[in-house]
Amino acid sequence: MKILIVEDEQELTDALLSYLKNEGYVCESVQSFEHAQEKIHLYNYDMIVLDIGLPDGNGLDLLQQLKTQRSQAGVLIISAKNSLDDKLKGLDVGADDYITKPFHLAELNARIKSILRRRNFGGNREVIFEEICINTDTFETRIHDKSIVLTQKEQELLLYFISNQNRVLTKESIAEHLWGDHMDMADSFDFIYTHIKNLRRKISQKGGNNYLQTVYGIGYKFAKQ
Amino acid sequence: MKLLTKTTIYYLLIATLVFGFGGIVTYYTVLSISNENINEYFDRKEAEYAKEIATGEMEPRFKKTHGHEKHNGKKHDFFHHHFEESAPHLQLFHYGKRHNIYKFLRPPKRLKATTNDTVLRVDDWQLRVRRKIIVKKVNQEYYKLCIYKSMARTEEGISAVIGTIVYLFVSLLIVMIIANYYLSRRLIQPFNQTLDAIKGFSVTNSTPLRLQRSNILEFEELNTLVVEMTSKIQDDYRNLKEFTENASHEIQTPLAIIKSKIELLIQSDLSNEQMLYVQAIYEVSNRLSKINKALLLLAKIENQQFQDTQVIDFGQLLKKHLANFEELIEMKNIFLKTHITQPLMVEMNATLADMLISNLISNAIKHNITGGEIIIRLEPRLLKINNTGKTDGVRGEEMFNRFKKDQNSTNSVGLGLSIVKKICDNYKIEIQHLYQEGVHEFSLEFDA
Repeated sequence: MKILIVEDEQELTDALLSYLKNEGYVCESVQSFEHAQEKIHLYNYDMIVLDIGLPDGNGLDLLQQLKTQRSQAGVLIISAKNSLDDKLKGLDVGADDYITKPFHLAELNARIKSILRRRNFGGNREVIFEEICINTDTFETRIHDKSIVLTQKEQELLLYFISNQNRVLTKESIAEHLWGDHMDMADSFDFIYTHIKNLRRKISQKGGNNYLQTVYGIGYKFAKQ
Repeated sequence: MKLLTKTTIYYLLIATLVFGFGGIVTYYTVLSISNENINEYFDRKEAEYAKEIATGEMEPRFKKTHGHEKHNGKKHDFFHHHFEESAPHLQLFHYGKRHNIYKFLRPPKRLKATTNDTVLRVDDWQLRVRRKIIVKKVNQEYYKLCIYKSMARTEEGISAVIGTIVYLFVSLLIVMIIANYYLSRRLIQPFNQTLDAIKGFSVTNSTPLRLQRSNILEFEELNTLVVEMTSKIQDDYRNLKEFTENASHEIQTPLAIIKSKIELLIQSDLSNEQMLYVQAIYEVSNRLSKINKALLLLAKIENQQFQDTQVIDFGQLLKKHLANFEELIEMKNIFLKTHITQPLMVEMNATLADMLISNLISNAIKHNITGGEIIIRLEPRLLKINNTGKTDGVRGEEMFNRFKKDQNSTNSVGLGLSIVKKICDNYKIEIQHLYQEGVHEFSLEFDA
């Protein structure tokens, strides 16, 4: 998987590169509109993470260029302007998703995975982690090929964990993923705990392993022991 | 008191003074002129009678010759009556229409002339007259001349003068009041327009204040000052708003970097103690980013950046958000009751409608007590959300102030209700908060 990151802020690019490379992606980054144009012209990418507020041009024009090139790349827009206008325009011109600064890296990662899954028409829509298998179309979860019943939030939580496996996920990032970013509630952290407890119980009932680890003070990690 | 009333009163006072003074002066002038006339008459008559007596032209006449019989008729002559002066030393010499002349039988002690005003009465008729009594020596004999002059003409003259003055005064008053009313209304009209314009002025509105030009210097000066002042206020306000917006924008990227670096940092092997430090940094940077987002959102609502609208079914919207919060409500053991009988359809921006409802519901959950309840009532033009909860004395409008938050919930940013209020203001939705017997009530009244 090849990903192009178009972002003018060096520090943020570094963080993105570091996180995404760890996921096993091949990543390249450019910092200007001009370079981005060049790269898009020369190479094919599976995914483009695009900051539309570039100093020397509007990222939306790059989208237009991708369209004329009939590019198959998925596009995730990053914007500092939480502006609906940009969002609509971006989605109109062919972006797959939209994320606002500041964001959680885990969230960005989950979104990229989701786009790639949707883009990958030939491939299957199943997310598999050891004995756990989630069908993202039917939202059916199976453990050792046995179906288990999860609430929608538990399902989303599990998918989020699997998308960011081997990573520490903060409680804030989980809460935001589950309830949206204008969630402003201390209670939600207790609630994440309850969800995780239920999830562990349901998985172990079907003979699954406990992959959910608590990271003291900060959050949780989904990983093989 | 209106300016108009005040000026009218002052005009009236001045007019009364001027007319009063003028009236007095005129009265005395008229009086002195008529006195002069009467005196002239007396002098002329005196000379005439003296000459007639001297030449013997005046024959003695002692009888009243005419008039008496007629006193009940339409014409009455007062001068024929009651003029006798019975004194032993006087003998009636001549009896005339407007005079009695007596002859002294022995020389008088004094030769002084006297003038006095008196009233003549016949039945219920009366007449004010002036009488001059003169003692005159003619042909070695003394005569007493009593000459009468009716005061009717004088009085008529005076009353005519007073009448004219009063008439003038009254008509001037009427003319003045009417003229003052219409004129002042015309004059003050630009001022009223300025007032109306100021009343309609809004700091958040970017259109400058428009005032009609006036050819009155004072009003023009006022208008210039008002326009200058309001545009200054608008400028200041705009600058402040832009500053907030720019600051929020500029803060976003550094915040994004901080957050992403922390997220990378926590992936590495840190000790528990280090993890707690990182956690603390992470938590506050999250709060900062939430505050930032909320402030940006507020600015954007204020700037009318949510233009496209659609018809929102609030019943559906409520159901959607309640489902989203379902588990939180269950966890707090909150009893939820919804009365959605009739649909509430409102045309507004979908994002803002989402934000409005989710903020209201999350507020009702956040400030609730364990085992409490939430009652949501939806009527054709009304949405009521009641929730049990404590109060910290914040009431009414204050509830919607920025950063006004419950002392107990440090995690709350304190902007949720400000956003709610701003959205409501934007769509002219009337929102009210009530706290009664442990229940918070937020009611939203939608414009019909």
